[in-house]
Amino acid sequence: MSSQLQRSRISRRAVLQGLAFASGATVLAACTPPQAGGDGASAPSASGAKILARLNGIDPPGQEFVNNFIVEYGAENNVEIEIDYTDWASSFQKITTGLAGGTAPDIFMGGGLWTPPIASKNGALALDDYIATWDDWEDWYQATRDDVTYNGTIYAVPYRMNARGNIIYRKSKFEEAGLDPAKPPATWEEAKEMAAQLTKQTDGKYETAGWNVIMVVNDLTQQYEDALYQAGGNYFSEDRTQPLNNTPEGEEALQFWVSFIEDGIVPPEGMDSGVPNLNAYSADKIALFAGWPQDMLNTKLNAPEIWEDTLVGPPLTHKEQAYQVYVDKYFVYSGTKVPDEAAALVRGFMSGDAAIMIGVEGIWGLPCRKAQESAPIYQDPRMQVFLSNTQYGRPRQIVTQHFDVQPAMGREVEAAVRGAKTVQQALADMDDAVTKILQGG
Amino acid sequence: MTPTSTETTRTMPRAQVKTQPARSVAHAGRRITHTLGWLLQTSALYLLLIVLAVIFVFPFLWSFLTSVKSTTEVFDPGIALPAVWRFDNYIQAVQSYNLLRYLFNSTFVSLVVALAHIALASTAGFAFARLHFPGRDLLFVLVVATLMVPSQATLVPLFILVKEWPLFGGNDIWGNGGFGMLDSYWALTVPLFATAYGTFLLRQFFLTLPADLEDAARIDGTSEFGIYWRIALPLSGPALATLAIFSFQNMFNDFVWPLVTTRSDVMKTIQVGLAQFRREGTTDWTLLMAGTMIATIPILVIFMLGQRYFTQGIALTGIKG
Amino acid sequence: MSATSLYGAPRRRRRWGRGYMFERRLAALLFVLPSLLFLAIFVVYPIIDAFYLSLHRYDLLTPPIWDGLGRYRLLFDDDRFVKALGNTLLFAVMTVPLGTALSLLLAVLINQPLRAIYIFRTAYYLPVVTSFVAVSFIWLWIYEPQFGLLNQLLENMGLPTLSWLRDPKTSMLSIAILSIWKNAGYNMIIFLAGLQGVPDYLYEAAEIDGAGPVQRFWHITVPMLSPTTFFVFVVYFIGALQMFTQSWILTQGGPLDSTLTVVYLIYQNGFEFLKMGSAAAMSVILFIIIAIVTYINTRIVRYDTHFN
Repeated sequence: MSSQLQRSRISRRAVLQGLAFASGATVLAACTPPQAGGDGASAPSASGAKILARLNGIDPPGQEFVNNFIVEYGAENNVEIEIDYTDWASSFQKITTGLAGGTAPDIFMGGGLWTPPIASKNGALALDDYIATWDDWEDWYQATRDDVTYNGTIYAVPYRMNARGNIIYRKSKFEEAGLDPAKPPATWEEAKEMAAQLTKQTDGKYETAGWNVIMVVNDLTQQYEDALYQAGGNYFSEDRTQPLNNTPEGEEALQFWVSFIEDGIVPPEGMDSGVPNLNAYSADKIALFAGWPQDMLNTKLNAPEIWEDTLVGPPLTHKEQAYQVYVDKYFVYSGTKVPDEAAALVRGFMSGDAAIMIGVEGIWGLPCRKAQESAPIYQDPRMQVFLSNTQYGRPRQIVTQHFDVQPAMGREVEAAVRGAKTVQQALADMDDAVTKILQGG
Repeated sequence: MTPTSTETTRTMPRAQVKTQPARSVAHAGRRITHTLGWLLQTSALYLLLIVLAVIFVFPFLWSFLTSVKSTTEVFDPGIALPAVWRFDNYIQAVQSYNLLRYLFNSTFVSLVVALAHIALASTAGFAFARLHFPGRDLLFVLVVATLMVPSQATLVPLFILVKEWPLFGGNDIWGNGGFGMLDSYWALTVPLFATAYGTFLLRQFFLTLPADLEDAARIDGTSEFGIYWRIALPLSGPALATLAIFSFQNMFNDFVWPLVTTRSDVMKTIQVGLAQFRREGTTDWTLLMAGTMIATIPILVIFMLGQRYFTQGIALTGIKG
Repeated sequence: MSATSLYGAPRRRRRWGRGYMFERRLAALLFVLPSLLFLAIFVVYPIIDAFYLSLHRYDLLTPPIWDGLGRYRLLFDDDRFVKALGNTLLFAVMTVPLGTALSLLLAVLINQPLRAIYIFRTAYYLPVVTSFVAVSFIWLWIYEPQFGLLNQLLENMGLPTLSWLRDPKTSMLSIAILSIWKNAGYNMIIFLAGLQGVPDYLYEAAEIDGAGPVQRFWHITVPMLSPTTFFVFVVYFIGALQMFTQSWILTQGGPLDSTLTVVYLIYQNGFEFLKMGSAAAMSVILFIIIAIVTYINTRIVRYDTHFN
């Protein structure tokens, strides 16, 4: 019996120790004033408005810049700024949950599909009056200005653009296959021909794929949409109530992508590095593809030798030379208590060095205004090709239900690309699915 | 829901224990004559243990090695050793973001919740296992039923509840006007105090305890609380240790709830903080793994501490006393 | 089981009689009240609220609009929902029985009084502690069809290779294997704690009676552990039917929706498509299914524990 009592004393002591520790820690935590983190994620000022801004996907050097920026800006403008840094993947869930509860940061970043849902449901402040006082709104590219306009009102300020239409390719692999590195493919036919020549595979084991088809549902939608624009088509009618995928243009566009798998240029499951966040191109598996500026960043960081060997070309032409652009933007919360100061801060974020550092420099986004074109990364001649082709960028036709529409379209593209459906069947189903969603299904 | 067959086997006749003296002699004899067999058996056992260990430890080993590599070495296949062991990745990770503060937040919050779980689950579990009151079994079924609703469905209602909690964070009595419990330790702890899982776990453990001790104590006039505190609780070391480890760990690794309830940098927890390493287009794998290693330390410490209680066998020698 | 039945008629002592029963009932109430209070406020209330939301259209950004059973009617037509249900059930059936048995065997193995056994105990628990980011990184490499570890091993042994996560036919199996591996240590710990409650003298008595290790396992360990096994199996199943993270991180529900689970669909509808009403309706249906399956499970596992 005594051994049991001993054991009971030990565990009781442990419990009491634990309680004591917990209460001590609670008192300590309650008494500790919250300190500014790292280099100072908040800038105190004598008096003035407090602004909370949520920035997504900012890397450490970018954060350092922002933290310094808000101290200066806060001092100059007599405001106190705090930044909530978040990653992109969780940002939408965070903002929608907050909005559901009636709380959101004064300024928040949004992605390509955000304008119609947030604007139409009164999540964002209309900014026309503020922008009217800006003298440089024309400096933003037309496509990006269109993207943030909903029903004629401006609801956001773009801070960077993105596109995956430019041709990225390996100089050494071109030379090996007997192709001229100075002449990247310009048309669909050339792309398919060159891709076939660049593919190296034995018995279904691919050493190099001559093209890249990214097999993720949303990426499939976007790859298809680029081709659709190049085929002269549109995914919606003008008023965006009718999907136009089951059309000759749609068929050409989808067939273009499907043919890469059918012709054996890309393996049936797609080409992957097998490692998350390492592009297949950076893993030396792709010779030629249509990619983002971030693909260049990925290569530069992870595979410097491949980065040296990389060249860039303009987007492909079929009936048109075009690709779609994805616009990331700042919103001002409709329920903000400091609208003037928040709008002014957005302007500050989009001026001078801040505009370059936050959106473009750290993460290699495309500029959305001419003032950003002087960013250091675009001094590289290959990156300049991205710049010189922004004229071919066209905005997407986005609807409020696009978070549902994009994967619905992508699932049909996936079915076609994987051979589970014929191209015609996939397109017919695509239009059906989209119509159902638009009707509130 | 009370298993009946096992309970009757509990009250074993006490005569069994008296065979002790004869057994040790027989045991000694067996040990001498079976040394070779014992050696082979033990070696085979160790071999199996090691093979299994390799299978289980593999990714952890990888994440540690990655944390000391340079960026270009990260994608070398398998378990490749770094050319240079860069322990300063850890320093860089800590300096990149407010990692130490996030770590403190997570540790503090997880400890508080784990302790609350132990207290609440053991009392409720004891009641469901050993006390009788009207509606007990139905209530228990309802408690377990709460496990059957995914957290994604209740996230928004719970968020709104926490935000509109009266008289907190600037709210009036009706819960309007302020932030309620949001962005504070309150939101990270109090809503998570309830644990149906813990209650279920501890109830099952209390069911495995012999009823004799408790019945004897009841005859002696001990209060229910006394039985709980002096008999049931001390004997449930392994179960409490298990619950403490699980609760601590689940709280520590929780991502979505701290994500939506915190906005200030100083209130963020470690998983939310680590997510910042995921930049677009690329990930700082070496720094992310360094940060992850740092984040794993408290969990491992709690696990090692709790391990001592796992082999605390229930001394049924007490029954004969 | 109560004191009265063991000892016949209640003896007349101060604490017995009507006051005693009242004291016991009061004690029971006090023991259970704090837990129930927290559960009621922070768990049950949001659940009821969520179920109520299933009768509305709710896009999170504007107030909910009454829709009656509209959300449920849409689900009947929804192929993806049916597919998700099938995938989820498949996953649970693939992982839970095997995973439970594996954890039990590991616990028995770990319970041996060998030297340095605690090192192995920690080693087997490590997957549980390892971040899912690290786990997915390694397993994506293991499962890589062209150059991954698994297919290389299969090739060396002359066996056909599979596309694992990339093939709709094997994707769920791949996730199941990973999940069993990841959770083995978790349930092992629970079984280990349960094993401590099995008294040594039972094994000793059996050994004297001539029972071998396998017999001792079946006739002593398994029955004595039945409340623990019950717990592990039931809770593991409930959890498996709510699988989300693996699909989300490894395959995004694909390819061709082969790894789409119900909770993933709930997440998508609630936090991507802004159709929270539909998400809530799916949660209600999932709840009903889990309740039914759990009830079936309690019948199955109970049946097995009627050993003697």
